[in-house]
Amino acid sequence: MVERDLAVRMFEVMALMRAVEDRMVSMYRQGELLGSLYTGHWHEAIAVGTAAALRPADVLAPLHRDLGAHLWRGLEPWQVMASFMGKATSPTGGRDGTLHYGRLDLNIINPVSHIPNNYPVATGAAFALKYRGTDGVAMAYCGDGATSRGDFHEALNLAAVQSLPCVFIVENNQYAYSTPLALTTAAADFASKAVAYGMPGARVDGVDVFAVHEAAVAAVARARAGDGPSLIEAVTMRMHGHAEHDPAEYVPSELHETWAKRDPVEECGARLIELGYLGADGVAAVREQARTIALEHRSKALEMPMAEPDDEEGRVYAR
Amino acid sequence: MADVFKMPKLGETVTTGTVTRWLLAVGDPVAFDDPLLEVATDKVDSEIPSPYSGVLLEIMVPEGETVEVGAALARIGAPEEPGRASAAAAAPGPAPADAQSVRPLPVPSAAPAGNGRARLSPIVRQLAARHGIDLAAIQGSGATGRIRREDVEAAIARAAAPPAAAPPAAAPPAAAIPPVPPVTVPAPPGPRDEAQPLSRMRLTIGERMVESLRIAPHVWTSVEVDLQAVEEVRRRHKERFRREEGSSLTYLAFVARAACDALRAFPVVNSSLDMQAKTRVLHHYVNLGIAVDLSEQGLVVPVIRDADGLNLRGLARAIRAAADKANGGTFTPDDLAGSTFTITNPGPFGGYASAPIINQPNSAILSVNAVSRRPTAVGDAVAVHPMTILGFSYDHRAFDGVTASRFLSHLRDALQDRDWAAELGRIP
Amino acid sequence: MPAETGGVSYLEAITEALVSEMEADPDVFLIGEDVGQFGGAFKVTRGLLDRFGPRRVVDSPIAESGFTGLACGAALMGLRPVVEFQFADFISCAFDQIINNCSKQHYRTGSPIPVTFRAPFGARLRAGPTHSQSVEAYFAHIPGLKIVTPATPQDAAGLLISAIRDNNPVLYLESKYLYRRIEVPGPLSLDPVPIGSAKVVREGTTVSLLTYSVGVHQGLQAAEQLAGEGISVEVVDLRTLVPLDVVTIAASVNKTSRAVVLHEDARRLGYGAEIAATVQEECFWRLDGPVVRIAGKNTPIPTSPALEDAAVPQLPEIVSTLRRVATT
Repeated sequence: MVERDLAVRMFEVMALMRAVEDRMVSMYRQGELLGSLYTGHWHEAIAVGTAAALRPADVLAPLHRDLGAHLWRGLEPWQVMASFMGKATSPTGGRDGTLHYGRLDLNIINPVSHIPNNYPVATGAAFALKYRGTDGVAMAYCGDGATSRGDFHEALNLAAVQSLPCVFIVENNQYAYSTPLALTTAAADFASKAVAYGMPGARVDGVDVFAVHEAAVAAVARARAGDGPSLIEAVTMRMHGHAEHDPAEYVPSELHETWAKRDPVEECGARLIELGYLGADGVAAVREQARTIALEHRSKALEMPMAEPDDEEGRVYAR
Repeated sequence: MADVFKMPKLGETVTTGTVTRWLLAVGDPVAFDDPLLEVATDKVDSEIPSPYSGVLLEIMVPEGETVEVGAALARIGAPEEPGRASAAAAAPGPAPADAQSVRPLPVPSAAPAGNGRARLSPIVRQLAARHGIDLAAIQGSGATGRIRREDVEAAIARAAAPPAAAPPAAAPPAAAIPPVPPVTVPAPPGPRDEAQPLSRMRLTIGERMVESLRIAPHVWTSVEVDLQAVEEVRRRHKERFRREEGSSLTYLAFVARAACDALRAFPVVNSSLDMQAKTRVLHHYVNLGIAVDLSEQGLVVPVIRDADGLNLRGLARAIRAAADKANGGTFTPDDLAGSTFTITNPGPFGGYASAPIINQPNSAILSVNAVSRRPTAVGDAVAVHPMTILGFSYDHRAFDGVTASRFLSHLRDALQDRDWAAELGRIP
Repeated sequence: MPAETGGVSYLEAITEALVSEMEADPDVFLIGEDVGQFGGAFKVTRGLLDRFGPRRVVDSPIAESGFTGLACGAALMGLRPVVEFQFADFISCAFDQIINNCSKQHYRTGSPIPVTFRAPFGARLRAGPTHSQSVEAYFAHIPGLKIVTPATPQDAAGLLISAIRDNNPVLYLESKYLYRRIEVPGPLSLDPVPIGSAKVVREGTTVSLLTYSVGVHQGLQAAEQLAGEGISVEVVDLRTLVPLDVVTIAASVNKTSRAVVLHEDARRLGYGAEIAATVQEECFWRLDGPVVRIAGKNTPIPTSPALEDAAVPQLPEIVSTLRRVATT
């Protein structure tokens, strides 16, 4: 079982992810954001459970529903808001936007919109860590929909045949925009696909942060030991639309109702109480604190200046 | 059949004109007298009314380009059929469009015979304008008779060489000078540089200055003048003159008056050279050019005709009128033409002495510099008098140093010794 | 490895440059198909696996997108990958990674991606439509990439060295037609040739021929022939397509007043279109005639000899076009 400090910290970051995204949903509806808002409601356990298995020197290649992984690493909520608002202070200075807010100084690779482009790029990060003789690990995330593209296949194959220290996370939230699983793959699950590449695959309950964490720790250990990559399929449900502009009426309401009862943040809180790590008041306080932080960061982000052109052609090339 | 409107002659001595602005676009209807375009010659802008009615079918010379007087500028006539009109409706192109070829592929050999002469490329026009080459006199060596760059360069070289079998192209009198070497392209402006387009006036002045220095060996000499006598007359007559004339009685008027006399005494200083004919033309009149600065944006040199027939007062008035016209921009090309001698006057702005550039086709130019009170010898005593340096640049092809010195001495003596009070009329 | 005696071929120059950079910088590694054990499909990397080991010479499965993405990730982490596409034709498999991850990275995030993409390009080997393509036009359009096209062994070495050292993604298009066809006396200089600098390889006064890769050699032949007719062709080897050396090009065309652009790629929106537009913007008032392009036909490259020969510029067409521009 996960020891107390780690468990509490995981809960705090999950709560923060939820609070920040809830706050941004309001901001979206209030017209404070530039464009679409992508959130990871019900992905908190996956984002945090996996990130918590890594060291700072390990490399993350997340996508758009993994805010918790960024927060675990030290990305500030206002930076995420600034990215969605086109502010000059966003991680890309307004040059990219929405979910493209990685920070290489935190060893987080900033994703592009073509998914899963980050999968081969993560193999490259893993290659470099191995090349330099470190025991660093690269972790890449994609969704069920992204597994259909060639980059998924090429990256897994390359990582396995080169025995690269990678962990590939597939967040199966059952919908790729409006495409349900049944139209994405005829395979029974994604974990089984690992066999095709010669690597182990595991399928976990994506709503249970402790289960996710345990699987991640094992996969990371494998990679660190030089035994090559693994695939982890974490199953959850995409509770909001593809983005906030998408009402997701194509999702059967029963599915929503069923999964609504499996809120990963609440389940984690309940588990902490069960384990005696926090009392009910403590859990409530964490959630309240998270909401307060989210509000404070919103105020901060709102005051920041918008991006202005600044030698744009001059920054296309590196010196 | 469409009418071809050609570059008009805007001034007696004008040989080229620059199209500065088309006031109509291809396809626009044009009525007789409608303003058609703006043309600049030297430093004068003129709005040109159309002599034809119809539709503006084709613009053959784009804005910014300089062509010879008589060059085709535009076609005006009845609207043409769609095939032809679409070619003509293209934005003002560099060469007169061959109306039959609508397809843009460069196949000059497919152009109808004889149309080759109509294709004047940008470099051909530029070289011809710069060197005063008459393109009509050139045999083109390109397909269907097209004039190529090399043809113009050969004509320039021929004009520079002594007249042989072929008659030289119409070149300015200074034909003995080799052609201008190609222009080098400077580095593009950097982030701390500010590129300003050069005005037409600036470009014209530049060309003339370069040309003058090229063709005339300039020698500079000077004379120091004691203006005490002039100053005394100025002081006494200043107020009254101002009241009567509405302007001040300047040193320049005195110098101009004295210069006119000196020029009659030394006619070679008032001459123009014709190196082609190997003659010097003496002018038995003085058309005095007075250089006027236009707010540091450029210079014009309005000409006072028959200045030698004016007395001091008349000259002062004429100088004033010329300056007013220049500053008001109301001068015409003829106002700027025909000088036989030029005076430039940087004096009021300070400056001990200056070496101006001769205003072609004069043989010399005089500069009037600052007047300052300095010690000078009067007999064996030292007095403080208003003194000045008159600068004099002359064309050493026309006359030599002795003539120059004698001319200046005459001028100095006139300024120092003449009864200027009598010129202005004794005050009772 | 280069011959002990005799000349250094274009191909050997590439090998020498690779070896030199891998020795100088431990962060440089190679990845591609058949580059290790096999020494490369064209033998450019022969001997490198033995010399540097499998850590630095990586035999990849057939996965252009995969290994391009891998290279981007490794470069983000500070390594200097040299990626080999077996034929430039296969670079289209990696289009997405190059366009979206690679080219935009520095602009988006300020993080450089110092990767070199080597790709043998061009026709004239009877290799057919999917082994003969010129790909420079697609990539020249994308901000964030640099593109070099050496025509000589010396530039092949010098430009590869510069490409590897450059902190930006550089597309290095090597001419497979020239691999073994041209040789220079050794030893080769291993000084870097600056990216972005064109070179006047033959001075002239009548017409400027602006070209790259195989076109340079054709241009020199044509110039030699035309010199006998009194037509003086100035041949400008562009060497780098992006960024384009506008100063050298403008100086040449301003001097000769005539510009002809030559490339093997298809005419329509081949890189010559960019060169021609640039020349007319910079030199219009000094031109004696329109800027003319000599280019491949707007067809895929056929295989059978007579068909292929008709699809790409040949010497007679180059000579007659230059002659026409010079004299018409």
